[in-house]
Amino acid sequence: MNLEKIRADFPILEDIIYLDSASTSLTPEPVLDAVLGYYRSYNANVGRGVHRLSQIVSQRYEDAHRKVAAFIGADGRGEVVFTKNSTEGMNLVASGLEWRKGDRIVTSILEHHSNLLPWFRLRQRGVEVEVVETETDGILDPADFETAITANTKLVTLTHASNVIGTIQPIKEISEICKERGALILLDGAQSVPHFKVDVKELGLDFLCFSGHKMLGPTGTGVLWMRNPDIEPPFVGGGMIKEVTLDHYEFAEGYERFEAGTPNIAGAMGLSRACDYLTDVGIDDLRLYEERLTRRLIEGLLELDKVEVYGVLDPGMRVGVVSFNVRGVNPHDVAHLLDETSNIMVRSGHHCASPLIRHLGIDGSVRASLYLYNTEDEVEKFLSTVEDISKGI
Amino acid sequence: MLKEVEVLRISDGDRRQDLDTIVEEMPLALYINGRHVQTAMISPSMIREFVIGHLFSERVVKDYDEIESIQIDENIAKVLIKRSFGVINLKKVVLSGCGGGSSFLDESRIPKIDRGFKIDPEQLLRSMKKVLSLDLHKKTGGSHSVGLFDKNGAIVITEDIGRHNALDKVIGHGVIENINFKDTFVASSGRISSDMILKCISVGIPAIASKSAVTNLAIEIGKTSGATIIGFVRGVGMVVYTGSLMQADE
Repeated sequence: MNLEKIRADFPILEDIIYLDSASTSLTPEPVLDAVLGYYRSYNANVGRGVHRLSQIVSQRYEDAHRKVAAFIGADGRGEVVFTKNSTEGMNLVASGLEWRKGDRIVTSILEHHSNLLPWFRLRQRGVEVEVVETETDGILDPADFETAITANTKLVTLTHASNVIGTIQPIKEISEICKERGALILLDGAQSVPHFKVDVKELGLDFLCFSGHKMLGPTGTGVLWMRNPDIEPPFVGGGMIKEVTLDHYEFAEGYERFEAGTPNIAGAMGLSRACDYLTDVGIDDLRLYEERLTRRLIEGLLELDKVEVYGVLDPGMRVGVVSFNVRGVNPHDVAHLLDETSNIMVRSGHHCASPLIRHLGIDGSVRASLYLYNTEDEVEKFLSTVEDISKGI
Repeated sequence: MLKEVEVLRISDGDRRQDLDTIVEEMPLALYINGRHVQTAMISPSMIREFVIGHLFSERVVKDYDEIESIQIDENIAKVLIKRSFGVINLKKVVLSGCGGGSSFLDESRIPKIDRGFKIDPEQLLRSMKKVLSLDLHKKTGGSHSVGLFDKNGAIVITEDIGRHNALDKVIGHGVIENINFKDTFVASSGRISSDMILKCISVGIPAIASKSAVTNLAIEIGKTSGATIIGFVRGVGMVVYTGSLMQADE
């Protein structure tokens, strides 16, 4: 990993220390070029015209789906559908699967609201939602799923890595239980796909949702991968049909079926370029580097008297998303001071995971999250600033 | 590649309904950067190799990295080349051979080949035998076969209704496999015309041999470029038009 070269692609880092990548990552110049390149050089609609630009953009848009598929080990397997974000992916599955009264969904206390609300809303239709809890280490126990997944369980939907405490979940073990019991498994990969190799086949997934904007892509880009794309499309209209008459219509095959209307084409070009960027850097090298930074960040925080860190501490068992509190200081104040005094951007509050925050027995936390462009010096600067805050300096 | 059709067979005054084995031919429309540039009539095999080889042998690209995307959908091959989306003017129908091939090669800018390459005549005879022994050629008599060889033997041998197509396919295979063409030679069942030798030297293949004839223009290009051209490679003999063979003691 050539850190200097990487940082040159993020000129914004000359002015700030960005430790909020779990919220949204920064966007490197090549991704910006890809987005602007579309508007500048081949701006046209996809799948709708015979003219040259339409041909070019259609091919690139299709290639973007393939590139993303390859990135998650899904070449020629299932269907990659472009969405706005992970949230839209989860909602697509919630609205597209056929639900009957008494069907059961199993999820966990670790989830982001986006992997809770689409399922909670199904309670109105008589669907039961079971929430599996964890110990304070924040790692799910597969044994709990042996009992939670019943014959009526249609779907198990879990985060791969907590967006609050970063803990990585034993998904493969749980997906094997799902297979045995005939339940589908959906993985929220928003915090994992950007940071380490996620392979849909190896994990035995049925659905995978993730967001482009957390993996160097533009905002408004996301992915829903389906092993078997036989869910009902949520929207109907332009671009997703094979044939329409006044009393009949037939949906298109493939991803087009789920992408009604003109899609976010420029975003797709950016996301595709982001996949290339991460592949070029090397996702395994990136993971090792982030582990190293995470280790130092956690160790440094633990050295401070008034600071408590949540979730398992071993950086091998988590991503670089670290939640902590300075005793006696409101997390929002900590975040404010980090920016005010040292130009450090972190997130504070409930991180769109209120049930987990409550489960941890706190009102909120400060969350520092790392990515490939962060440096050891930045981590040290962050730690010394937190120390100052903890000492009331 | 092969099809059986009902035919009326006439032989020595005798007429009978019979089945005959024929070679398949398909049109392949090539689109580059959204524009239809050519339709080639080819045998339905190694289509991706054909497309890549064609782009190289016609000097549309020089580097594999220049090809951003190839999508093949039945009779259409759509290619995106990494450059501004200007018009690549190549539009015409390429026939399956007989001078319908190439192209926009500028013969005044013929690439130069290292004159040091020498073919071992014994290996060439063996190679040609291999090239001519392919199934399609034997069964139908309606195809050309072309092989790419190096000192260790055959890298790839393929057949097509057109000798240009077959050559493009072996070149495409070589590109995909990252073969260093300067250590290879081509053995072909079909005659060596100017466009055949031009395709070879465009990617740096220093020698081409055929079991059949060689044209005057091919020889001119062979001399200008330094490439080796050998015709009538049959039985135990051959005719060397340009370049030189390896001596027995080499």
